[in-house]
Amino acid sequence: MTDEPSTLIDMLRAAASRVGDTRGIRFYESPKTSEFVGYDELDGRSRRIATALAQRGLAPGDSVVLALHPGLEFIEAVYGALYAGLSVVPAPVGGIAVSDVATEQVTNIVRASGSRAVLTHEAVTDLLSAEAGSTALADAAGVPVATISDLFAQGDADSWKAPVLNADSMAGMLFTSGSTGNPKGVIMTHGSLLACSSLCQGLLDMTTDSVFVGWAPLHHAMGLIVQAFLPVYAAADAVLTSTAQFQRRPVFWLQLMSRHHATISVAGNFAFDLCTQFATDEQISELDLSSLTALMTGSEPVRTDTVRRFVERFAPSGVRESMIMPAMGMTEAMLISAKSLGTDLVIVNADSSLLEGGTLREGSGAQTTEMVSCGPAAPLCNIVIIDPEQDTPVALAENQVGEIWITSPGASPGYWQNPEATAEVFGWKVPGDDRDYVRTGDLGALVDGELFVTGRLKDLIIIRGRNLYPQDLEASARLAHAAVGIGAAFELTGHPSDVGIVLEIDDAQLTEAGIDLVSLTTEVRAALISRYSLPSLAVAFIGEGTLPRTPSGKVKRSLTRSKLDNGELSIVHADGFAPLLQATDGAG
Amino acid sequence: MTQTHTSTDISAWLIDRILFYGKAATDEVTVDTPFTELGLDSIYALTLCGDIEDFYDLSVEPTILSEYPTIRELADGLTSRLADA
Repeated sequence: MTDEPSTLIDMLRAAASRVGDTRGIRFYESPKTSEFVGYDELDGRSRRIATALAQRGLAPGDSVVLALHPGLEFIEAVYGALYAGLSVVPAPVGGIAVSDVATEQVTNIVRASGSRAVLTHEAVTDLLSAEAGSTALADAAGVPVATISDLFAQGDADSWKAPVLNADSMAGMLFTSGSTGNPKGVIMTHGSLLACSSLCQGLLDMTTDSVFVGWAPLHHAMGLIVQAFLPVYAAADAVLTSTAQFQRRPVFWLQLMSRHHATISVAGNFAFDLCTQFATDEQISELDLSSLTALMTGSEPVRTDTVRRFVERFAPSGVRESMIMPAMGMTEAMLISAKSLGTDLVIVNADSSLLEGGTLREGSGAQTTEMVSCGPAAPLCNIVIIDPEQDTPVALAENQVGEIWITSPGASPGYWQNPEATAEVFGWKVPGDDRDYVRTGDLGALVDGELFVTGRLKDLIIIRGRNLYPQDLEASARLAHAAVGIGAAFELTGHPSDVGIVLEIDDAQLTEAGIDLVSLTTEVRAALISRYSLPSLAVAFIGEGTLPRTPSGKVKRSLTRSKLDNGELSIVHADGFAPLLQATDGAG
Repeated sequence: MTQTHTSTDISAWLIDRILFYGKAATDEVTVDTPFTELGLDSIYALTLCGDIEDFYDLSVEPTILSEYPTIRELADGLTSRLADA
């Protein structure tokens, strides 16, 4: 048994030594074109890039921003920088075709991270100023910009010397998106990333014969860990493509898994729905997905109906329910929980009124909410459910809903240069336990050791001591009338009602139904007030597609609420809100 | 693909794809309805690009939907791009 690597450099060099170029990473730029880099070759390229970075005066402890589109160069930039002892700060330029936005993103992240340089390539600089892409970027960012091809040309793999690093050395920072205010940089150390890779390998029972397929963004935690680090840790093959490729042709993901006999993949719930919708019978007949052992579903809440439809649709291709692995994680703590390999899904039909009271228990009556477990705590991790109402941490018993706290060797030590935000989230202690816990900000309960996530703590609507989940109100509003679309429900302060909901309207359906927005307000309000015993409800309608969303299409509730209060939403009709909002009603 | 595609062929194909996505009702989809009214958010805009690429072997970006804002205009635009290809 080889020694455990203590840095990410050791990790790649161990893989290179163990499997040479018989294993590596393949990236598909398009359905027909792909490029492969073996781990030995990747080690050589990383040494070369690292020497060039050192020549430019970058030294261990410095950070560099990565402004690259997804691809092999992105991964080479990551390892090249790590081999120079630098810390990598990915910027979300992948897929952004508008130059101003890309430049702004890079500039913001350079400032927030204190990075000393930007690593990029022609795909990005070509999008910027027509005159001189790199110069425009350097001027804006205020630090030198280097392209991977230049670094490659200038470097010398044989003169590389390993930097002096240890497990606590910083390996990177991931900036979580803050819609307003300062973005927070989650610190990753060599030790935390290795620990995360190790526990994921254990969970997935990965060997050097495993095959990982994915398209998750490389500049976010899930994509970076499972696509750039975990395969190297296991000295196994990874077959990747970009998120944009997936969005252009969702079924291509399945075709890649079939073609390369994938054993592991990961995607968000929405991706499974897209595949179910778009795959034709002919395409399905050509797919063989029987090699899969773990099809992880993570990064957003897992819906049982999505999973069922997917398993049913792709059963002819060999998909089985036991392959589907709901998982839960966050950038600050990495993987938190995951269903055990090869086991059945654990589903609970939670009694709705008990759930409102903060207890998750199987119900037999008419009002139940179907919930799927995200599995037990990940290997080497521990989950406790803490009462969010108490000032000092009080652990709740099983079936009780509270804030999910996690301790993990893969957790981040904190946010970059932000002691207040770090203290709010990291380093919390639970009575009788000397480990450091991360407060996830998510609500959930443990049932027989299985984690069920119920919602976000900050999105929770608390009325007269009852916990109402916004997604339930939004779903009920949608069911109230065909003209009602997606919405955002939240608590209100400074308004006549304590609860408000903003709903997108389908004009065609409204016209077809022959009703006006005043009548629709009455219908929606009546439905929700009776269903949830609300004292009152403020209702606003807005044009289809205009609520702020995440890249995967989920509505951002907090942002909606703040835009509402700032008068930044184009409300077409409102009733029950404070006067400022009502003033926009004239045109409705 | 060596067969020639007329603008009418392409329009018919586009209507077919958009109906398949299931975001708009049949009678809502006409060749002159703006894409903004057909329920195509950023995900479906990319999927349409992927379909155009796969069917017509033509590389397109999602910005094409703002450049040619209706099915008729997009069909005309694609016809001339195919002729140039």
